[in-house]
Amino acid sequence: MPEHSVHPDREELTAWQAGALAGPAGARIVAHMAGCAECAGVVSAVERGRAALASLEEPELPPGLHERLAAAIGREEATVTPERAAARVSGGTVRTRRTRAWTPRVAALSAAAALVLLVAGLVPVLRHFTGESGTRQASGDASVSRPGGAPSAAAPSSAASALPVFAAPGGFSGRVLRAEVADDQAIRSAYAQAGAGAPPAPHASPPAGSGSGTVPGAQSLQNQGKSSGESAAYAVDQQACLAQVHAKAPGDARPAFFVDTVYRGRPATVLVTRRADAPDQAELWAFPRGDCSVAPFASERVQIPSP
Amino acid sequence: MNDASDEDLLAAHLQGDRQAFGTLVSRHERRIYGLCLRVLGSREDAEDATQEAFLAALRRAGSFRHQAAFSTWLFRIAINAATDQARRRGRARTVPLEAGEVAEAAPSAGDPGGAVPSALAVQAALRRVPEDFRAVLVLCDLYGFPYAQAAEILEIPVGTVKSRLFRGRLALGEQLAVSEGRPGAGRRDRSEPEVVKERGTQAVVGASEPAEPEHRRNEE
Repeated sequence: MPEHSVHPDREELTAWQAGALAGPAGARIVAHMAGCAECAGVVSAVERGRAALASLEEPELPPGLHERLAAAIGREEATVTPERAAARVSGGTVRTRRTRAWTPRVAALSAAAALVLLVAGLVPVLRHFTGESGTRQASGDASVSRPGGAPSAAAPSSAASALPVFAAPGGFSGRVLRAEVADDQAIRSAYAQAGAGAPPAPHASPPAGSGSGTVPGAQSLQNQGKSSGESAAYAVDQQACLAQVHAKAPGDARPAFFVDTVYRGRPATVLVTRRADAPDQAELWAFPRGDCSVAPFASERVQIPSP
Repeated sequence: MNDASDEDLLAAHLQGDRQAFGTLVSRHERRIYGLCLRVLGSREDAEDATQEAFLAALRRAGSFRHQAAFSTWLFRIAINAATDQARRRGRARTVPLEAGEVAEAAPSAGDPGGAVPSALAVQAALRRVPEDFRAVLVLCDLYGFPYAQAAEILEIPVGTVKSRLFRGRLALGEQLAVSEGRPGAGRRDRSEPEVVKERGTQAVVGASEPAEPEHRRNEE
């Protein structure tokens, strides 16, 4: 190769390859490449890369993914809270939503949407209402008395048999969990404990005595009256829930806490577990509210950075 | 509703139409999944990233501004979701990817003629291309976005798109040449990860995390 021949730069090579460099400039590149193995190699590799990509076909959607997406979207839409909706909807859009018709159905839809927003606005997304069950009265501040990050006063063995229960009357999902782990100290603390130690024994015997292993329904949700109108007491057999989950995910799930809530539109008791093999992953197991005699009707996996 | 534009559907969604967002998902799910698969290289990760992308789009629907096309906006969200997924995966992984995972992404046998590399080989080689380049390659060469739109999606200057596209094609071509055992194919940028040949296959596997090639070298 002639020593005085300057290597064409990237833009020149690109233009030449695209056929956009004609005339003397193009001829100069042709001449250069005839004697420059390096540039010829670059051009050939670039072309090989481009052609390889062009040969790739768009993959088919894997079976079940559409349904999975639809379910996730449905859950997400069911758990929109007004604060979060407002935070992400510009003022102009909100006004539009209230005043301008989009379809003939808009009046009914708007009324329904307004009701949902009103209801959700009455209650915090998550309200802690009881700590370890069976041994304590339901209390609104059971977890507040437990400093975040500090070892729990409860012995591990009793924690294994009675997990904290939170209430989320406005609905619950993996996304809500992620937000609450980030925002709420009580949740974060309960969540962190599940990942900290050895997994609680799934078959630990419930403590003897009345109500062992079950959580009495708490009446401390003052705000719940207007939203759901029923806040009736309910109890859930935690051991049965754990057994159901361990049947689905043997040895893999560390229980964190329960949530009394609505999941995908259904009244539900949701057990939140963390994966032993993936500290960044939590799983939600939704049971019919208060009923762990049946397998969870839904489960969801969510990525949550370790707190 | 089916002839409504994407932008109209998003507006309908914001005004309470419960079907509108689902229509958008149906319209774009295959492209978004394909994008995530090509960027991430594993079906499981791509499915997770696809879900995260649409959930993020749902959450951010109110922040969509009509200066951009919906597809630009959605692809930006999807690229970000894929990047997040890659980061999580890189942090969580304790075991290197195995050949089986790559094979799952492209179960067809290698092309016997050898003139065109198999989808398996291309996908595997793509994984060895630095992530920044990979995103540009996928957007421009697979999806055919013009430079300007790719720049908008990635929020980088057009010149950077062109540069990454060139260097990405070069890196990909060289990875393919290495995996095909072509002579003189060893030349590569020092910044690029090292290529390791998988036993018994022509696939070059591995991820872009710098720790992984070392791990593999120790195995051999």
